[in-house]
Amino acid sequence: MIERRSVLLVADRELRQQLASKAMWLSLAIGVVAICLLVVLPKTLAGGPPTYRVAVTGQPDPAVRASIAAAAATAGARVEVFAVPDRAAAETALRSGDGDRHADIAVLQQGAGAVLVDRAFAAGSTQRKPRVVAAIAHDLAVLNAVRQSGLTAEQATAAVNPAPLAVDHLRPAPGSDAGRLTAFAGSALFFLLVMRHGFALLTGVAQEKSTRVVELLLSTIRPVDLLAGKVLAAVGLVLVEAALLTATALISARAVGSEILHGGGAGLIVTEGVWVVLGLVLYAALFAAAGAMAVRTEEAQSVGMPLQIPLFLGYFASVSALGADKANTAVTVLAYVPFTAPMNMPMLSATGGAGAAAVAVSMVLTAVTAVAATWLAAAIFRRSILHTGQRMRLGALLREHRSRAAAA
Amino acid sequence: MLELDGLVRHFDDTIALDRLSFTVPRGQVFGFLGPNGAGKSTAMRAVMRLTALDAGQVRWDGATYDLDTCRGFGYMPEERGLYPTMRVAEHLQYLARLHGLTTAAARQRAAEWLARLGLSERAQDKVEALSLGNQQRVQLAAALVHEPQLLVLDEPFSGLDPVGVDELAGVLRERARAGAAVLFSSHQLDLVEQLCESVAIVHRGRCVASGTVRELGRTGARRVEVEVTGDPDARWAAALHGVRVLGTEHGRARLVLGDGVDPQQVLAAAITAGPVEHFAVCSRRLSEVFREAVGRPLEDVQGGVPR
Repeated sequence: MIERRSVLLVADRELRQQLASKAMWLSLAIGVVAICLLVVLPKTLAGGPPTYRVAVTGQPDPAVRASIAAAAATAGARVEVFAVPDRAAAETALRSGDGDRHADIAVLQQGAGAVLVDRAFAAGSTQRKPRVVAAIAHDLAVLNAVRQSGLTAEQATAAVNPAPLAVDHLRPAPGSDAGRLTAFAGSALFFLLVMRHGFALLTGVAQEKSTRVVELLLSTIRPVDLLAGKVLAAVGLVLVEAALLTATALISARAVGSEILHGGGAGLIVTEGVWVVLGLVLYAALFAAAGAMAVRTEEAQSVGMPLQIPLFLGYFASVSALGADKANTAVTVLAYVPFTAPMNMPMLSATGGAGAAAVAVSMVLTAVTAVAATWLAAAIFRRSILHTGQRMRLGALLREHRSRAAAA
Repeated sequence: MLELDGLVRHFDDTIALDRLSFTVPRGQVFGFLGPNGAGKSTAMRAVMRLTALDAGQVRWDGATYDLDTCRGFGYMPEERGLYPTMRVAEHLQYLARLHGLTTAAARQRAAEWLARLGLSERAQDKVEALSLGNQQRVQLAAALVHEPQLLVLDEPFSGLDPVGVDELAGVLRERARAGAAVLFSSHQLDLVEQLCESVAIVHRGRCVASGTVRELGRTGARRVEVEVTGDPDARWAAALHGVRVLGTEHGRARLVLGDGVDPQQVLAAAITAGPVEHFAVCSRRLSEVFREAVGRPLEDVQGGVPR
């Protein structure tokens, strides 16, 4: 059992030290600004759907206007329809620059009718304008054909703009883009926070060991209490920081009307919070143990290197699933591996690859592993924090721990 | 009373403590001496429960002890350990609270010790902003802030200026007068001789001499100190049978007398050499005890006063 008073004293000191650190505030400020930019910039730069000015010769009737607008909408655009007297005026409008007399597209109603643009489109163009033009040309052709079949104007309008049929489904949607974005945001946040706070723990412990402060501490408290205090402070700081960054993202998204985080309701945010806590407990104690194994502070980074591998693996797997409709095999597998689950299970869930039961199983697996990892880390920490001289290998540490435990 | 009883500690193939035993009574300043690598720091770490023992026991007031008891001890490790970026007062309060003091008591004691050591004005400075001497004072305050009944200080005088040495010596005497047991290691033998009532000398992990400074001085071959005007190098003594000149200091020669040599014969020889300004039979100095103790093969020594 840990001793509450000692743990809280250690955690309190760790928190004060972090809060007094300029680096911590600087990194938080950078995080807040970066999140604001990530949310606001796409919205600001993208604006809304584009609007095309369409010049129609003669007097366009409501059915023509409705068909042009509906065709443009199917191609993801809006239109502004205005009348011009004849083809010459339409050509002038197409050639003129910006302004009230400019047209992007012209519709000629005389004869069989035609659609006119200033410059031909390149073959195989994936631009939006060719799609809008093709849709308008098709829908007006349908309108003409329907009119020629002898229907009244109202009947023709109703025939070319019918109410769509109901669309039913056999299986639920695989998840929205916004849901995947939210899950990815959670993964990225987890990755960044664990990397930063994990390495802060690692170097903090290595410094305590190399400066021998640890001898003063361990003459008053047990190694496991020192470790627990450090992990507690790290988890607390990460949760506050994660909450602050999430709030920044939500507030800035709401302010600009961004859909980037619409995939995240309160439930998803709580789930992400649980993943952050589970994952951090799993990693924090191991980072601290790695710091205790280092003989010199400069050596700490290399001792902690193996812990970065699953973090990078999990992060890159979640990146790979960002643009796909279905989670790939890597995400599906890593969602159940405790060291990568906090980054991949939210993504698997957002792409419809895992239900509530699967999430629960993965969480339990991660929690059990976190407990085992903390026990292992405590054993390593206890054996190595006061060890000086040449660094003990992990195998030797564990063998010594087992033999001493057996002797006890 | 602190008792080290048969402590054994191996590091791989090296034996750091080899059945080390000695006792530090309460109310005494006790010097712990030995050459570099003799096992002093390992023994002190064993007292503070910072290293596991392969055999032996450390007892306080007759019983082995746990972390709760150890929390009441004060410790200064050989390699000074403080958080460089913590503020001085905050650091002392933190350590005082780890030693079991309440927040209010920790604040009060930290302020008292900083005032006592002349560091009140630096209370809000970061530790790293202090000079090494002042950092050492803070380290000392950290060991004393909870008024421990046992003080274990590893090389506390190294790096201190003469004023700092006097200050620290005064503090150690004061703690001993208050009933605490004070154990410290040092290579400054003259200082230890002045400050300590008792010492233990350790060599290759074993106690090769221990006892009061007076007892240890009285054992071994007798010494005389002679000053003959006009012969500061004591050339007159070189020819005396059974007499060895240890050295000269301020015109006085220090002689070691072999078995059966009568000091009166030496005095008579000195008088024949010239006017005798000073003649005294004296004890071994601690430095002489130390050199003799660590210079002898281990087979010739055993725990306690050397034979």
